[in-house]
Amino acid sequence: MSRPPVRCWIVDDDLSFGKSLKRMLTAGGIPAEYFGSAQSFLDSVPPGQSGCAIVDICMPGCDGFELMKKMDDLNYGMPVIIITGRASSAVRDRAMKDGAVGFLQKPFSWESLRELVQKLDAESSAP
Amino acid sequence: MKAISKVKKPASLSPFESLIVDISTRFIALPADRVDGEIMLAQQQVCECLGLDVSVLWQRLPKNPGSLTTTHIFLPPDFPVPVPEMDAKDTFPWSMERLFDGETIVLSRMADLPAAAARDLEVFRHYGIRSSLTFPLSAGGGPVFGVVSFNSFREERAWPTDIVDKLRIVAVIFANALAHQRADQALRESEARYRSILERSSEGIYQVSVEGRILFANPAAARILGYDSPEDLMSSVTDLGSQVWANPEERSRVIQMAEEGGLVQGYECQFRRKDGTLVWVSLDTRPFRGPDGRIIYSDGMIENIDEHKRAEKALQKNRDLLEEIERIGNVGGWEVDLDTMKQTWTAEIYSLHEVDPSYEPTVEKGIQFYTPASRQVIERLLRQAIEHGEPFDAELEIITAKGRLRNVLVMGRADLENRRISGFFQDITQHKQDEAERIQLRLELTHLARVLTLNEISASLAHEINQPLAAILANAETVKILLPQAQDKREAIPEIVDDIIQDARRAGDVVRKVRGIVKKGDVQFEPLRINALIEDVLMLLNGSLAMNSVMPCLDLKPGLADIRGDRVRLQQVLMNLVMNAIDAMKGMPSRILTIRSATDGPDTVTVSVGDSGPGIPEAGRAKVFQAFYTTKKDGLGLGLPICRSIIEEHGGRIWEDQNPGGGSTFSLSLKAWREGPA
Repeated sequence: MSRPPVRCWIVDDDLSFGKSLKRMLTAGGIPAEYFGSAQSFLDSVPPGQSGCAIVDICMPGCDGFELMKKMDDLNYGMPVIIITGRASSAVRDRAMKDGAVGFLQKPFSWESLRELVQKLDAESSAP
Repeated sequence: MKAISKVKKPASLSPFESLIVDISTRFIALPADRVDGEIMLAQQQVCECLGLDVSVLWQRLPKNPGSLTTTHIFLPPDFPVPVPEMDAKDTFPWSMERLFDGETIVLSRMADLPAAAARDLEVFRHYGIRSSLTFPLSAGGGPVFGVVSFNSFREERAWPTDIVDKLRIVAVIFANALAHQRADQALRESEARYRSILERSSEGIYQVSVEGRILFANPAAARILGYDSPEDLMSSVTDLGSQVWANPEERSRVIQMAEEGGLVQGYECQFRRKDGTLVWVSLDTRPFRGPDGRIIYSDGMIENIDEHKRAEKALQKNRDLLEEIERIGNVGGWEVDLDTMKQTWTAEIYSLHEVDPSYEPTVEKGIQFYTPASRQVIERLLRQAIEHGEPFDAELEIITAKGRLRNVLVMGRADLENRRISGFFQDITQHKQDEAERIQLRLELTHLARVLTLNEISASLAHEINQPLAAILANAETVKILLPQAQDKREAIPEIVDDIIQDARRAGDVVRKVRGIVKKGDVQFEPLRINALIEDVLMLLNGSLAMNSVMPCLDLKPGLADIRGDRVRLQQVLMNLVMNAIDAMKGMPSRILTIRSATDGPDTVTVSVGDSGPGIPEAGRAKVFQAFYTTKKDGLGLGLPICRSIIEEHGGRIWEDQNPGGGSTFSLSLKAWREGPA
């Protein structure tokens, strides 16, 4: 039996989407938690926690880029997949430059997300 | 006998007869100024020759026609009693009455006087006159104008017929000489009078020969023509036609007119002055013909009408200006005489009605130009003006004589005291068309601005639609994963499908709202809940808010009255204000959007959209609602002007305030919905 799959932390202000994404990951065998804002994620998940953050860019208060920066500042050491409903190559480039490990444009398929997450999992378990 | 008498006659001349011949000769062709001296000399010579003492001549003078005044007298040097100027009528009433009937009074002695002549006797005695001979003076059978008497103090004496007849000749000579003198005097006076009139006249008067030489001119003529004196004028001008007439041919024409008509009056022409400048004159001229019927000279009267011409020109200029203004403004003036109901139109009104200037306007005819609907209005307005003096002001329609429809603005003011109504008539057809075009243009601009706004928010809209789509896709994928699995795993599916339906609805809502916004159309007022409208707009802009990390802060007062508004347009206004607020806060550390709704009295609802941006620089605040004023890099400067035009269309108001803590707030007031027509 393989080790337990990587855990996903979803940060998105859209409740309906957050809920559906969590449900999809869970159904696909990937444990997931959902947070409605960057702050509630930072408050609940401490640095050093394993897993992968799936972060929306457009959020009131603190957006996805700001959250990535804070996680970096706080030494979270957690890979981040950026998701957004407003895709442009500039946004994608910035996300990658800021250190995101993946970028998905909403709406996205289960396949594309699972591939990304499994790739991360493989990389993290590699010697 | 004959021979004797021939020889005898000269020899037999007595000294008295010689004197009479001498006097007769002396008075022939005697100049008037020597008449008085000769009369007095003759009086003296007669007295001395006949041994008489005194001779007195009285005349009825023009200055004192009611009495008789002593004018010529001979008294011996040693005459003791001075004779004053006296009125012969008072002193010799009886004698004078007879004398003025043409009788000669012969008194050898005073005792011959009848009792009726008591006063005469008294006076004769007073002066010591003892004998008297008096003749009436009249010339050429004319009325008696004086008397002359010859008297003796020293003795009573007989007056032989021969002496009386000869002295009567002297009296006749005196009378003729005096009459001549009088006529001469009258002529002189009349000449002096005419001269004075000529000299003082302000009209220039002259006589000119056919050749154009000036024969006579008065000072005014010289003055009008700029010469120093009439003499200067007469000597300088040798040919009136070429020297004085500005247009010599005109003179020939006037002479011809005078030849045909005899008199030319009020002919206006220009004369050249001595210094070469021109003067406008009004000329009267009349030709004088010689015995052969040919004109030998003509006289002229000229009046300087330069001032008059100048005034006329100024008046004409004013008139031209007025017509010009009328033409430019398509405006005319009219007046109705309430007694005759005749109308007076200025030139432009004729051309606005497309009738020619010979048209005679009356109220009745004027009204026929209006379209039936307008005719009713103008008839009512005119009636009210005539009956109650009410002023009026109406936009009406006329159909011109050539069948063209025109929009006109008619204004009238009654002056019942002077029985008249006067007013203003303007063609506003073009203006009306412009207005219609402006409304059309505004509609299109409003639409354009909406589309532009939509472009700006399209990223946000994509986000807004992608969000539910993403949820739907995730949920559908989940269902797909769950379906092949065990029964217990599939229990969640109905709930997931519900979520899918909800998200699909959510996406549909967004699309519907966008479609509403881009729809082109006329203003449609309906009762609207302002709070719902605000929430709709925020939903559409949610993406923009999120993308720009703007915190919306709503303070919506519950239970507000419905407002009267056009949904799409008000959405556009709110969307614009929110987008502006978002733009204003770009790069600011704190980005808070505050939207409030409130009431301002029972009939008014206010909405304000505030930002925490840098605020508007003082210099720009006055311009924010001006078209094409913008602070944005790619802004058109149409957003706020269109907002204002929409709000004003709603009968509301939009304004801007600076927040005390920074940033600006745009507020608008809207009217509450009322049943029935607004």
